[in-house]
Amino acid sequence: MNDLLAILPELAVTLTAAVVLVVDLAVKGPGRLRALSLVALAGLLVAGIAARPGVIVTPYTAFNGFVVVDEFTQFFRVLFIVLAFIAVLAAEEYSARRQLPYAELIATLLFSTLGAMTIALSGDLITLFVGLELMTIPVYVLAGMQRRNPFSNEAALKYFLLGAFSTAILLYGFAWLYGLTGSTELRGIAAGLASTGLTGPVLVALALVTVGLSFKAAVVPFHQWTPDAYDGAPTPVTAFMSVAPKAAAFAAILRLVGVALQPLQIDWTVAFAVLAALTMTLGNVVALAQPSVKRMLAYSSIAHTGYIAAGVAAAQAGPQAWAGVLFYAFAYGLMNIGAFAALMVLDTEGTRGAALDDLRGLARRAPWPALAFTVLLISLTGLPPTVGFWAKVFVFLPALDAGLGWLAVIMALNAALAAYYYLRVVVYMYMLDPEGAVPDLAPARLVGAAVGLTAIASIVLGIWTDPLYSWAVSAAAPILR
Amino acid sequence: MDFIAPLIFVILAAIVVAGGLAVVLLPRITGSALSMGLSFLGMAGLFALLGAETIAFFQVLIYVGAITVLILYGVMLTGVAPAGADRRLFFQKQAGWALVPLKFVGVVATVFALSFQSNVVQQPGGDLEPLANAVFRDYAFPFEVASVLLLAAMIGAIALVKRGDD
Amino acid sequence: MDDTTLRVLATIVPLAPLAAFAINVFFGRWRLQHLTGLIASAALAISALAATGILLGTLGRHDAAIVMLYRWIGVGTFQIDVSFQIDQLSTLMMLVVTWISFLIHVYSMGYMHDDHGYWRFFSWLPLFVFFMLVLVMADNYLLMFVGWEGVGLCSYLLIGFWFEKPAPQAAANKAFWMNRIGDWGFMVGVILIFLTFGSLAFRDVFAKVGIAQSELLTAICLFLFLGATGKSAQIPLYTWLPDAMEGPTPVSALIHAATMVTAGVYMTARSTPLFAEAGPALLVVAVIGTATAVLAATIALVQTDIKRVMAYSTVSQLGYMFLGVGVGAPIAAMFHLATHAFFKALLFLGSGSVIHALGGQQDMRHMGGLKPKLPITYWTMLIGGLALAAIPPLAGFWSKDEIVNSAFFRGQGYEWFWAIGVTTGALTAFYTMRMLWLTFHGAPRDRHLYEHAHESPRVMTTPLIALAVGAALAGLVLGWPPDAGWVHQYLGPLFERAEAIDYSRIAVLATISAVAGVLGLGLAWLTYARRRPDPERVARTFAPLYTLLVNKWYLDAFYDHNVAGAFRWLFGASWAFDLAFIDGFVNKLAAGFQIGGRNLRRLQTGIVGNYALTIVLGLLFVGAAYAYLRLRQ
Repeated sequence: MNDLLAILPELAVTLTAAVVLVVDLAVKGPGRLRALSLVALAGLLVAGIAARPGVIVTPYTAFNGFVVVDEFTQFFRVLFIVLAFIAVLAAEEYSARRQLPYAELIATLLFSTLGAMTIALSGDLITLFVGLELMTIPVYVLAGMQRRNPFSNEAALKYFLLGAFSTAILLYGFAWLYGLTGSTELRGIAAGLASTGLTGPVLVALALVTVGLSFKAAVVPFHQWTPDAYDGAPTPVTAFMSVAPKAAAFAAILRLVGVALQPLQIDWTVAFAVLAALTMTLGNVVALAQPSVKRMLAYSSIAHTGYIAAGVAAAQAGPQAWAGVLFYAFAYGLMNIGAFAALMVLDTEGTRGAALDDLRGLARRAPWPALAFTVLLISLTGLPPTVGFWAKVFVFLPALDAGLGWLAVIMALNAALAAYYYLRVVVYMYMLDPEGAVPDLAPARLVGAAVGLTAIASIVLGIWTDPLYSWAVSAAAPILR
Repeated sequence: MDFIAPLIFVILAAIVVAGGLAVVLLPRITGSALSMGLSFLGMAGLFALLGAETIAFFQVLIYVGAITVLILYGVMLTGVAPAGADRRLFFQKQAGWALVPLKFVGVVATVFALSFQSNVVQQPGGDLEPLANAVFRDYAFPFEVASVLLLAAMIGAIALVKRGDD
Repeated sequence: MDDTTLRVLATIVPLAPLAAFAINVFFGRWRLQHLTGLIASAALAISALAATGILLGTLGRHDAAIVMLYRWIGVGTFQIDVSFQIDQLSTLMMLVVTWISFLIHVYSMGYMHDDHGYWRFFSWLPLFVFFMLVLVMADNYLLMFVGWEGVGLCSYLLIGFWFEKPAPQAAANKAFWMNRIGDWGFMVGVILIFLTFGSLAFRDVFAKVGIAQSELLTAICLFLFLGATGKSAQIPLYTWLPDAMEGPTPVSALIHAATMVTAGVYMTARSTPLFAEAGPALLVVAVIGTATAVLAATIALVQTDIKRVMAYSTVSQLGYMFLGVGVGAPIAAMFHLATHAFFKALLFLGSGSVIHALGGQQDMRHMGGLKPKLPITYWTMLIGGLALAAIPPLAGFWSKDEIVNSAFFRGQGYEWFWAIGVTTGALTAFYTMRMLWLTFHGAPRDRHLYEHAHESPRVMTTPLIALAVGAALAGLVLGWPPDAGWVHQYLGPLFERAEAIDYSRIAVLATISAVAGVLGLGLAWLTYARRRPDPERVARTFAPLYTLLVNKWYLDAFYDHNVAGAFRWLFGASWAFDLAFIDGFVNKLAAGFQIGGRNLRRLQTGIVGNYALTIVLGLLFVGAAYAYLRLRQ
């Protein structure tokens, strides 16, 4: 019974997914989509309450050590629930317009969320792996939900093929770890590695695991699926898949390197710092040249991965570094899902999401979404007083503390690059006149709510930052113990 | 007894390898699929030889039975042309010939060079009970998550193939 | 004044405009409409009164009061509070910002009356003031940076207010990019400060200024100053300010007089404890300030757009302020900032009144003879113009004189700054007179416009009169006697002063600069009223110089071609990279693997294969990196 209490939020999400499918059968008529949304939102709300944010938990394990509940778990649980909540808000009107199978979409989304939450609570490689798959496989499906759109199919197929490939690499790495240490439990692996030391086979295992997880987080050079997959997938799905799996991948990385690979710290940090620098630079440079906003956001999300990875690499700066990672993941999740949601305000039927030119003069046609979008873009750029600014600060300072001065310089230069393409969107919305045909505005009350919520959250967390950051610090503490 | 087990192993291993080779080399894709079934059957034998009768049983049931048939159906329904892929895979083929022996040597070397720790204990009285204990008690949580995963995959599959939403 | 009252007042000062913004932006469009102007103006009045209350309540006080609102970030050694530092410097700035902004708000109610974006205008305007107040009240560099970025953003929104037209868009972009470069410098400076001193609060940093190496301190100050050149439109980042004229005129007045451009001067003055120890940094400030003052004044000589003349004069006057800071006379600089706020706001609002009367015409070549048509505007602008020209006893004279005199008294070759400053003063008087004459005197050059010209409504002229009183008297009231007036006594405790006051020498120097100002006026009067020498002839005689000035020393063009070109190049390079590397190289790679690859379908599968290939290559790279690091250990 205690064990079940430990996974109460997960049970709530699973149940919600099931209820959504049943309601889909029970309710007919015009109110069906709204009913499904309400069920999903209510379920997520219950799950959020069950996760009890704000109540400090003393760490404990359940299910024979497969489940670990600590502040870290709580932090990511809440993050994933919040992201799913916003994704559901953003999905309804879009699905109605494009005639996507809405109930299946919501259920699949919830299953993916469940997978992400499972990663956060895993104390064992097996749980971690199953969670990773439960998170990823529904996303393959989600990416391909727009069956009549070839781009959607392409996105799903590419993501699926490469995802399966990387999963194989990751699993192979796990097998090596198990073979070397005789344990799948994270602490058991740590104990095993402490006795073997850094031998050649350990390096092989380490490389395989690094690559497998880097793929999920879209670290360069394992990022190439991202633009195609993000671009082709239906936009609400893109919004979700650009944030939740990425945050979950970093949760997995932190759990794994923080607990299991703890004895080997020095070796992976340097490699990670190099990957981080590559990732943010390539993401930003390519994002500069994108005429499609959706694709630009896809590349820029790669750049953000680089920042988060920089925080991971700064592990030697102590718990503050990983607090920065958690904070960044949270902030990035809110900002990016909001930014994608903002694109859905435009009805760009038949295209792959909004092009820069579609946004011309949006401020006049849709002043509120434009304003909220502007706030989100400013936050993504990392300007005060938004949460994005603090996110950058909290990974920047640890990078300096950890002696990664060169990385800090690259981060600063990249911030300037990012300003260029993010704020260009603002220019288009506020400064330029529409030319030729512009896409109609979509009916977007719920999407508007999603955009507005994230924009307000970006500002509120930017000027009232201490609570979230303190939480991130206490959440990062257990993994570095 | 001491020489029978290795003998059976060699025979089974030969079946597995031959089946694998046939999958790659046979020109017709239906032939490849059937060869794969053969290879799976050999694997099931190997499991049985290791004392994992239940897994051997599942191997026959799922892989030899379900998956091979599924692939055959897939081939029949989509109708893939037998030739044409050759030219495109020209370079990869050469690389494959070069890399496969390399990898074989590597794996063998690794197996002999390293002593993998193992806590697998040979069970005398069949493997069903320890399997059940593992799945439903020790590994209950990941097992349940995996079952949710299958449910999700099923819903996803339905969503992807279902025609004409209301 | 007890702490609670101070706390309440200090909170009201920035929150009143913020509240006005929130109310107007949420309810302005549908519910409030033209009430938004009243709400914003009332909020500014409250804010200004609160600031005055702070002044009166803290008059006897010599230490800075810290008003902490809440803890922003507080983990480990990294602690930032949202708190205000109430001392003489910030109080003076609060007063200038709130009162001038209040008058501009009132004026805008008339000026923007028929604009369809009325509510939008009165949403951004108080927000602009709010960020400026955050900037000047902050007790640490980070909060200051928030205000710094905020005013940048608001200026962007307001300069591009008429986004339907192309010129405002371009101007807004230019302002934004110039400011971004400056902000980057400021940010680097702030980061260096944090790394050096371990804190961002002014009082901690200034207390520990001794621990920094002087090279590092110089670097910090130069980065901060780069930020100041962006915000305060100095060389090399000044070109945005004249273009910012594309915004509505009240916005120009706000930017030029009360908010935004004074931020750089304020920040430099605030950081005086750093600059004073930073070796050559102050000299750089003085040189840049002087050079900007001359450059902008020469360009202003030939501008034909009335607002552009004003804009270049602002750039020039800001140069004076930086000269003041640079020669170690921050009090004089702040004094000039305050007087300049009055007469520049006046001149902008006055020119706005002219433009309003002429139905949007800004070109002085279409004006002339407007004096009888716009009497209030004329007389108030005359006062403002004479104040700008530094004719005694108007406001500009006292403050500007004090700056150039400080340079003279510094000695050691700083006399040159004085000489250039006085010469620039003559140029200032010349272009001011030219502007006034071309607008209000002579024969009307456009009959049609002239016939339809009318004096502006009371809501616009009242602020003009109020500002004119300030422009006339502020110098005397605040700055008499020279170097020992109220402003000196008030700000005195904040800044150390070196030399004793020598009134005999001040009298001589003051006479010289007054004569220079009158000479400039007279020459302009001769040229444009008596046409001796005839301005067209002069232009033809000195054609190369004239062309140089009309083309703004070709610096704008230089920036467009080279700096903007560099950005465009970067853009193009990344595009080319995408084409060449992603599409080219990867596809070549694909082609390499597919010897017979000819049709599209194969290419498609090839790409997924190549993605997988890069994963494998990346795997090899990571493995090799680990192995290398392991071997090195």
